[in-house]
Amino acid sequence: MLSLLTEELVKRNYDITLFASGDSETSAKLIPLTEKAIWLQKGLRSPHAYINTAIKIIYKFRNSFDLFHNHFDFFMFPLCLSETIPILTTLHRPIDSVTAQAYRAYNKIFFCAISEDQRQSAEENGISMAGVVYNGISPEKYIFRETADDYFMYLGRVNKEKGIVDAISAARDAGVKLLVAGNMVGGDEWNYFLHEVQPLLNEENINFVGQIDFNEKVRLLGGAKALLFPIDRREPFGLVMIEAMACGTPIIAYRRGSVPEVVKDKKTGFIVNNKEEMTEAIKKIHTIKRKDCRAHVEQNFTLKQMVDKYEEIYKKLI
Amino acid sequence: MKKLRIAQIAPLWITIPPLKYGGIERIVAMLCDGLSARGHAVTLFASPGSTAKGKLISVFDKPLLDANIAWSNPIWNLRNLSLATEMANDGNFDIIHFHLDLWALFFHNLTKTPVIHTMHNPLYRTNADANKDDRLRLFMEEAKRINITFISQSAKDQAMLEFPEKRTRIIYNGIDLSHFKFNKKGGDHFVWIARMNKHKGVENAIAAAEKLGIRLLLAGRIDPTQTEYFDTYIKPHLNEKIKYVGELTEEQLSDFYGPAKACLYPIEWEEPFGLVVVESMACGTPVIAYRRGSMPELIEDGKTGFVIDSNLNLLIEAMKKIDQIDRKQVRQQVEEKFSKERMVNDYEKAYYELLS
Repeated sequence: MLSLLTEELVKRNYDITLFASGDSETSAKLIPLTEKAIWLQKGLRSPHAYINTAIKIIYKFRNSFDLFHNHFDFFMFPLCLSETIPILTTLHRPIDSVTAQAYRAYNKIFFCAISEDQRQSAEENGISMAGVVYNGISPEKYIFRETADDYFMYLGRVNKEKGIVDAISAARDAGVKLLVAGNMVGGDEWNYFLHEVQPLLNEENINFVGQIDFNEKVRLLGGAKALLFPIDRREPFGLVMIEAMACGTPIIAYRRGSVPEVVKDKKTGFIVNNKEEMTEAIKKIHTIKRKDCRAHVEQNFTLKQMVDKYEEIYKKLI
Repeated sequence: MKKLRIAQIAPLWITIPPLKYGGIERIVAMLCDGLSARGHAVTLFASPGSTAKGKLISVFDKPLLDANIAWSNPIWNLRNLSLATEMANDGNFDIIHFHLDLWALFFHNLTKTPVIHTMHNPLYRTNADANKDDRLRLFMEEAKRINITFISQSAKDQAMLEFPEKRTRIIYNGIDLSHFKFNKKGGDHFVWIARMNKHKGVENAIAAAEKLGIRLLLAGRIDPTQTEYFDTYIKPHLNEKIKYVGELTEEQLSDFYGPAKACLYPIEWEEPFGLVVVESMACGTPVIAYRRGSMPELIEDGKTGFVIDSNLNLLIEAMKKIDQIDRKQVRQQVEEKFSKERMVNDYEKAYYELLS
């Protein structure tokens, strides 16, 4: 998402500097905060030194730009204690009441939500928002498929909150094939995979493909009859839903967080309340027109719309 | 001299002072109590439930350990540092004293109020190439600009960083001598106490006691990560003569150290201070230690115990001649060099120097 935003802003002739790991690819000026993505460092016990390095480097530039757009959560907040340019922070993660206490205390930071529901959740916790900007993608990068193959799909991290187990059992109850693509990050997710998910994969109709790259993702999403998204948390946006719809693939999702804003019920999929309803929705997925799904993304969730919105907020803050 | 408005910024994992184990937290508590008693206005940034003297400010409603906040999540410690800095920038303090290691390092950039750091943890290189150690590198970059205090000469030397002389201090930790009863007689057995792990030399102590056929009492916490070590390497040696008595509270310490002939501390790492050594000496019980880390600074060889090269035979030799040590002198050494009053004095002096 950050890469899309950066590339589009560069295209619009802004002078953009990206602070990121040194192995990032970008058309903007890159100022490396680390040599390589710290993700790649096996056995890293804590990121503290890296984060401190990042704060320090960025601090040197505190008055060199018109605006900081921060995607690195609270780690950058101490910067606002000195005289700096405005700091806009996009909240990419769900907001919990404990973390919100700390956010609230930094009253010089401007916040941006990625859905109306997330804005509401933030405001319930006393954090006011400078704006709401839906995530956007370039639909032309997603191949539209008029007809699907004979399977449903789950795509996402393997953990309880993302609802992988519900997806599998809804598909099983409906008697359809399910393709599960996902990855595990950290010991908790591996445990969850080994103990909760793997035993279910032995069934004939449930096929696990692990982590997939972008082209593979587009190909597999496009072939799916629908994406199952039985989310068990207040999802702030749910990028995979718009990626699927861009391929023409409808969504069957639980009514949590941003889902009602992203999915048009009965038009680009079904919004359901539980596993039983998901099973029913699977059976009537043929009533959704795949063209409508694609059109929904083209009209509401494009990169152009996202960057237009951010431009508006930038102008307001400068 | 003008009384100061002092901000003490503590870690938020447990209360100040701690209910049980927590060396840094105990030092911060003594500092707050001592400075307050001298009429300074102390503001303590710490967890709720902290009872050290001063005005307590808590950014979160529980000690982080009780709230199950992951050790790797710095959000509240950052908030704590931020609030202290904001308040300093509003003119509330004359000096800020950070006890937060790496996380505090950046914050001196954000305020004009003078800042001092105490390095409670070793600042050693962990790789052969110091540049590869990121924590060390960050300290290196700031070294010329920060006021830093080490808890021993050894800790400073081991840091392998060039800190400007006038900004660098050594201030030994202190203890509350009223908590440690002097025992002028001692006894026949030896003691060892520390957190149970290999670096603290427990196996060396056991081996020496076995060779001499003498009684040895072991005490100290067994962390969950160390139970296997204990079961494999220590437990098989326990018998009538070598006993493990568990983790002790501060009230029990005097009765543990006092009746012993000596405390064995044959450590296998560069320990930056070694509270055990000072506590034992406060009870009059001499210490026999391997020459590692701060040991030669804490123990005066031949006078308050023995400091020997890391060698089992030398340890045994020293144990045989421990009766040469005058227990009164051992206690006296602590009164002179390692009391909390002396520690508070040193910090107070440092604050005034920074402000002059």
